[in-house]
Amino acid sequence: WRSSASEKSKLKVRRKLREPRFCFQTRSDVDVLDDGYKWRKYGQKVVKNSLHPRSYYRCTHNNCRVKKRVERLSEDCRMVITTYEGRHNHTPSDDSNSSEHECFTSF
Amino acid sequence: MAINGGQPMKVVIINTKYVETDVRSFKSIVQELTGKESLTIDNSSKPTTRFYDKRMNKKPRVSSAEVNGLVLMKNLSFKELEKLFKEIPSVDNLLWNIDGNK
Repeated sequence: WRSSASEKSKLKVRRKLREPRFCFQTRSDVDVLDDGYKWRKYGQKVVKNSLHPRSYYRCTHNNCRVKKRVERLSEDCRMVITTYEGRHNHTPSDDSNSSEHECFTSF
Repeated sequence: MAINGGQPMKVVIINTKYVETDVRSFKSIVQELTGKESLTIDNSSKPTTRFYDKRMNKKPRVSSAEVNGLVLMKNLSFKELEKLFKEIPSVDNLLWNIDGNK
């Protein structure tokens, strides 16, 4: 992660900008919805004030750092909350979006 | 404000966008927002962010509602979604900061 320091009078503040997250709320019986990517679960934890645990997944593609977490909404257990962090550096596994396939050079 | 032993204060900024979808459109919207950037939408070298706003209401076939800052979109095909994205002005420098290595 890259952090930048900005000085405010005597107090130094290091700002750290995380990759934006997208939080999807979907009505589904299935916890892990198919999004065209492959995932590996790396953790699970109990969520405060909720009956439902939260599971943590990582994209299995080489060098892809995208993560997601899946949990059920405690107020409405029909709803699944899927939160994504990061962007994939590859096309989806199922090839449905092959029209977007292009060489991606680093900037 | 307590300063822990002269260490600089660390501020972590997490920007979260909320999206409501149904199972049918989930896959395409996820890929749209988290997949590799398509060059047809954005020609600049920096990835841009896109967010939903009230202009979604333009399409009569597509139902949408806004509740507390969340925008619900239903019955969107992938093509319609791409078209809508092109109409939205891009907001850069706000969320994405991918210069340098992760």
